[in-house]
This record gives sequence, structure tokens and C-alpha cells, in this order.
Amino acid sequence: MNAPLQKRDLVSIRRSKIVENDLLQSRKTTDGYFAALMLLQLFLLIAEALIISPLAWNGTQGRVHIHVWSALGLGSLIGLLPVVFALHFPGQRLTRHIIAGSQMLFSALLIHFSGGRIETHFHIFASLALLAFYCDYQVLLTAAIVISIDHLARGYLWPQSIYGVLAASPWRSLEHAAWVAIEVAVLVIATNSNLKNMERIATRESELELINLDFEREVDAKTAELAAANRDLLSFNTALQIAKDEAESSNRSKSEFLANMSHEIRTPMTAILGFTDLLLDDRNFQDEPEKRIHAVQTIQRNGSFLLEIINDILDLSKIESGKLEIESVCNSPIAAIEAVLSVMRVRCIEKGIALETIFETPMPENVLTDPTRLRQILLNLVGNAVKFTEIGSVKIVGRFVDGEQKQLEFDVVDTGLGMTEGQRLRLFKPFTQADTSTTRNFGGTGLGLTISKRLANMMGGDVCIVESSPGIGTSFRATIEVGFLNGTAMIDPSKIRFGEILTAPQSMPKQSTEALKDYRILLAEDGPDNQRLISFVLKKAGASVTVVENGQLAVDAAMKALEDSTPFHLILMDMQMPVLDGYGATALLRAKDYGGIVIALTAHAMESDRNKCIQAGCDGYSTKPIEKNELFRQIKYYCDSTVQKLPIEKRRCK
Amino acid sequence: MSHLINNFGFLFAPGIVRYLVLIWCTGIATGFALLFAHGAKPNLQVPSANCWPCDVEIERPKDVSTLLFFVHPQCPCTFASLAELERVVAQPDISLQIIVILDCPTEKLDEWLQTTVAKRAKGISNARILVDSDGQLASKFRASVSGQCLLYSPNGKLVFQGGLTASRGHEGESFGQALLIQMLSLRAPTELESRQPQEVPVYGCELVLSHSSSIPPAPCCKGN
Repeated sequence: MNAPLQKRDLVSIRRSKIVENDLLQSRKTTDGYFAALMLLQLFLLIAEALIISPLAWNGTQGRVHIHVWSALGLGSLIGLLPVVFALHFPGQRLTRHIIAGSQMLFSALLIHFSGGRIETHFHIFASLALLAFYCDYQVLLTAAIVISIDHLARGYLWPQSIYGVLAASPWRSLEHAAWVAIEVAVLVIATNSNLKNMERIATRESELELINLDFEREVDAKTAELAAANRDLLSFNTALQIAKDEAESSNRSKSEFLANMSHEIRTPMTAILGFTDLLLDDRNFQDEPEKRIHAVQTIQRNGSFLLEIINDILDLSKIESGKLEIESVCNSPIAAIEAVLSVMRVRCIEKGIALETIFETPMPENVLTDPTRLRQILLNLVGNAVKFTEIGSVKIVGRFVDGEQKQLEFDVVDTGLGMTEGQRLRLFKPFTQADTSTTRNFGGTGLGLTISKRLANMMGGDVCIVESSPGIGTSFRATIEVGFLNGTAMIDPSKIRFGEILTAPQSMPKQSTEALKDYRILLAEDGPDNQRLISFVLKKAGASVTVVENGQLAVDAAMKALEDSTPFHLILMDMQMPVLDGYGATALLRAKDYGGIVIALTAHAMESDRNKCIQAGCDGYSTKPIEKNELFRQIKYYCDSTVQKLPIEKRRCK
Repeated sequence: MSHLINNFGFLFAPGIVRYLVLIWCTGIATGFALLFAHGAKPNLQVPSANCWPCDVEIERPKDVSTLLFFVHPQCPCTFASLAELERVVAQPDISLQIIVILDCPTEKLDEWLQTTVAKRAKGISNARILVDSDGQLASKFRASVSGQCLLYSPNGKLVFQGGLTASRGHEGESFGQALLIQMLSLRAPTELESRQPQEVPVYGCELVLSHSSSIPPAPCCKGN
């Protein structure tokens, strides 16, 4: 297993490489120099021979001197091979050794040609110095060996050619060899010193390279980081652009929604205000009761529609703002259907269509769910089905899905208009109905299905179209997830009965002039119109009504009546009033231990508003505009003597 | 040791390179051998005149020996011989007549007398310079090689003949030079004449001769 290389090892390896390369380059260059020197020496040698001893003479006959032939032949032999090697194998060891040998042979030849002149021996020392350029002590050794062999041989055989004496002493050869050895030794030392210098420089260079490499790696890493950051930034920018597009889209949707809402509100308002103007200004309406009644009915119908729109918008707003809370209480799904049937049955009878209910599976007696929202979903689906069905029937098919998740599934199947594929795709968008003529022909806000679908989603289910065909009918399916109660009874479909409500029309509540007879009611309301309207309605129902215009007066009046032992049976408290608002007045009353009934009356219809009223000390909560029968029901409930005696926290109307 | 073997491993380089290097080394060795052989090969000498020839019109002193030094003015090897002659001349306590004979062809006399060798010869101290047209003197003394010395005793007897260098064109000590100096150092002429004539090799060019060396030498001059 190879251990990772340390920095020191890397420097060492790199240093060797650098030295090797530098030496190679240096030796190649030196080879080149020597190649040139060889040619120059050859040229000079020939020139020397031609100048000094061009001819040998035999009387008057001259012939080329053997020195000239030697310079040409032997000189070329000595000098040209190194040139060839220097050109073809530059930098190789053999080349420089051949050059070393040749250089020494040139020295020998030169010494011979000069007749052993001692001056020509300097050629040897100059050559050795030049050979030191190779930074290779072996080359110097080769040169020393060659010249030593030459001197020893000639010193023995022909000393004059070397030393200029007939019989040289062996010490003379030794002396020559010693001088050569000294120079070689000096040059070897210089060469080694040069090599060490090269290694030092190479070490620094390799360290610098390593530092540069680290730096480059760091730069690369930083560049990669920057690139990643850039990518992230681009991604972020893309996300921002998407978010911006979504926001713009949302803004456009909001604007569209507001435009739709404005349109939906203005449409019934036009009818209300128009017919109101006619009632006020047109004498015909005043004189003709039928026209007047028709106008009032139109105003009422449009007012109801307007209220429906506002309620739907509030629901949608609550859903989209996440403020809608889904309860999970124990209730009967059959009762929910029964409630829907009780409402829709009358309309079906009016339109002459059948309203059927079928349960395909046993249904649990009770489940955990939000009954109000379940009822709202079913009312919407069944209401739509009834609205768009002129002939035939509307059928509610219920089933309990006992799977991994417990679900209630309701199919609402009608034999109405049906829809095309394009209409189906637009159906669940707010303020969108099957087509633009739908609103004109059938009314509706176009919010019902959107709200139902969102509610179903919040309840772990969905609302979808199972099938729809133009002219044949439509089948919607609502699914909600429910909490299953262990031990709850499963009711067989054959045993489910809705009593009389399925067949007998519910009797319309009778307008009784004595519904609230003898009830003393304090109405705290700052709006004069509402004061007149509500007090009129209450008085008409037999109640005794005291009207005050702010919270402080309400508190004063309630406390005084209590002191006079004629306490009010109930206080209807508007929550937004001058001087002291309803919240403050109720809280003040409760602070004064006032135990009477206080019903909040407010135009704020959100769930949070209801909670706020309850927290302020109100017993009940009724929204504006008032729904007369509902208001009477609440008043009668709270004015019941049994309820009156209950502690405040236990007498709240369900 | 293995380090050295590795370092000089190129000597055992395979293939053509090895043979090339071996051929190269052999060629150089052969070249040097031939060169050295040529340098060490003396010229063939014919026996010189054992006595001073009568038909030579050169005045010879009766009290000192006479040294004749034959020079081929074009011969490069003679340069070294002249250098050695100077060394001989420079020896102390030597009484001697030195005659340097420049052997030239008549038709090229002026040219040959301007050569470096001729100029060097003319520079020999205490030497008398004679120009030998077409080698007439050389022929009479039966000298054949440039650089050849002939030493005649005061009585005209040839006591030494040969060269002053040990090889061709190489200065330096030589047997001939040493022998000549030794002989010149002898004080009494009788002692010189009692010795056997000495002969040493000569290294140089062949002289210009007026006639063949096979002709018998001129008779000795009895008057001497």
C-alpha cells in the first residue's frame, strides 16, 4: 500500500527531475559547442600542417607532407565522429565520453605536430576545463585516462614526442600525470560544487512550483466555489424570477379576483339600488302593489345573493389565508346528509325532480370530522346538481371506505346539463362556471366548487368530477378523510331512515307577532338605520326594545335596569360603536358581575371575530345583515329561563 | 567497482554503436602508429667522404675541427635540426668552424634562400653560410639528407656523421647531438682522430644532388 507522498518527497522527486533536465539541456548545449570546437580544431590542425610542413622534399621534388595527410585523415577521424554523435545523440553519455576522448587525442596530435613543444600541453588543461562544462566527473576521468595512456605509451616508446628529451625519467610521466590529476581533481570538485548549486536552485524551483501548484489548486478550488456560488446565484435568481412571476401571477389573479368580486357584487347591487330608486321615485310602484311586491322580492333576492357572495368570498379568503380551522368532532355522517336533504328537498319539489339517497356500504354511526364543513361541501354539490337539473333526479350515493385510511365518499349524480371537456377544466377556478351564460341563467358566484374542493383538501380528501356529458348529466365525487371511532356501530344501508323529512315538505316557519312577547331587549347599535330595522323587527315580534347608541350607554342602561329590578332578558350588542365599543362594554359588564345574556351583533363574520366576541364575554354571536328567524331562534334560546340560570360558560348556543 | 562498470558501460554498448566506436578507436590507434613510425624512421644514408675532398674550395682551418651542416631550405624537419645545432654551438669552450650549406637548385636559388628554414640557418651564430648550387658540395661530401652533420678533424678526417634529432622534426635531446658535443669537448686533435668515426641516423629531406650518390667519393686531399 503506497503511503501518500510527503511534501519533502515531492520536492525531492521534482528536484531530481529539474536537475536531470537542466543537465541534459546543458550537456546538449556543450555537445554543440564541442562539435563546433572539433571542426575548428580540425581546421586549425590542417592549417598548421599546411603552414608548417606542407611538403616533404626529395631533392627538388616536393610531395605532400605526412603531417598534412595526418591532419586530414587522423584529424578527421578524431574530430568527425564526435561531431556526428553530438548532432545525432546530443546529451547522451556515450557522446560526451567520445568527445572527451577525441579532445585528448587532438591534444596528443597537436603535441606531436609541434614536436613535443611544452606549450602545446596547455591544450590538455584547456580541454579538461572545457570538459568540466558537462558537470560529469566521469567525462573528466575518461579524458584523464586517454591522455594518460598516450603519455605513458609515448613516454615509454618515444619520450621526445612528449617531453622533448631522448630518455625521460619515469618521474616526468608521473609529474605530467600528477598535474593532470590535480586539474581533474579541481575540476571534479568544481563540478560537484556546480551540481550542488544546481540542486539548490532546483530545490528552490521545485518548492516554488509546489507552492504555485498549491496556490493554483487553491485558486481552482476558489474558482469552483465561485462557480458554484454563481450557479447558486443563478439558481437563486431563477427561483426569484419564478417567485416574481408567481407573485405577478398571483397579483394578476388577485386583481382578476377583485375585478370578478367587484363585478359579482355590483351586479346584485345594481338590482337592489335600481329597484330601491324605483320604489322611492316611481309613482307606479307606489300605486301598484304587485309591482311593488315584485320589486321588493327582487331586492331581497339580490340582497340574499349578495350575502351569499360575501360569505363565499370570506370562506375562500379564510381558506387561502390559512385561517380556516377544520374541527374534528364526533358527529353522524347520516345526520349531515339528512341536514342537506332537509334544505334541498324543498327546491327539488319545486323543480319537480327526485332527490334520492343511496348508501352502498354500511355507514358508521359516528365519525370524527368537521360536520359544518362536510355539510357545506354536500350542500354545494347537491345545490349545484339541483340548480342545473331540470328533468330527472339528483342522487346522493354514500359509502364508507374502510381502508388504510378511513374515508367517507359521496357521489352526487344528476341528470342535468352536463359539461364539455373544456368546461370541466375551468370548473374549479374561482368565479368560473361552465360558461358565461351560466351565471346569467342559473345564478351563483362561481366560488362554491372552489371552496368545496379546498375544504375537502383540507379534510384529507378531494372533490372531483367522475364523469360529465352534455345533455346526460354530471357526477361529482366528494371524499373526506375521517377519524374512525372504535366501537362505533356500523349501520346497514337497509336500516338507514331519514324519517319524514325525505318525503314531507318542511313547514315554513310562521311569522309570529308574539315570538318574543314580553322579552325586554336592550339594543346597543350606533347606526340609525340598523337601530330602526332591528328594533322594528324585534318590536313586531312582541319584544320590548330599549335602544342605546354606544357601549357606555348600554352598560349604564343595563346596570340601571338591574338596579331597578327590571333587568333586560337580553342585550344585542353591536361590537363597533363610538365612545365604548361592544367588546369594551361587554367586558365592563362582566367586570361588574353582570350575568345577563349578551349577544354580539357584528358585520365581522370571521371565525376569529367570533372568538374575540366570546372572549370579551358575549354569550352568542350573530352576523349582519341579520337573518330574522335565526336571530329569533337565538333570542328565544337564551331567554329561556333554564338557560338564563346556567353559568355563562355553559349557556352558549350551539 | 560496479559503479565504475555502470559508468563505463557504454564501452559495452550493443550493436552498431559498439562496432563503430571500436573501429574508430582502432583507426585512431593505427593512424597514430603510422605517424609515429614515420617520425621514427631515419633516412637511408650513403657513406660520406671519410676525408676532406681535394676538389672542394672551402678553406679549412688547421687548428680546429670543421662542422659541415647540410640544409634543404624547404625541409620542415630541418627546423628542429637547426634548433639543435644552435644548442651545440652554444656549448661553452668549443673551438669549431661551422659551415652551414644551403643546398638549392640553381634555377630556384633566390626563392629557396628566402624560406623560413634558410633564414633560420642564416641566423646560426658563428656559422659560415654557403650556398650549394645544385648540390655540388653535397655530392662531393656524399651528404644526402638535410640536417646531416659532418665533423672533420683539423687533419681532415671524418670523425662524425649523422643527425642532431632523435626523430623526424622533433627537437630535443638526441644521441647524435650528445655524441657530437662529447667529441667537440675533446681538447687534443689526436685524441679526436684516434677514435673510430661515429655515425648516427639522420631525419630529414633528401638533399638536391648534382650527381648520383653511387659515384665514388672524390680523393682525399693529401695536403691536409
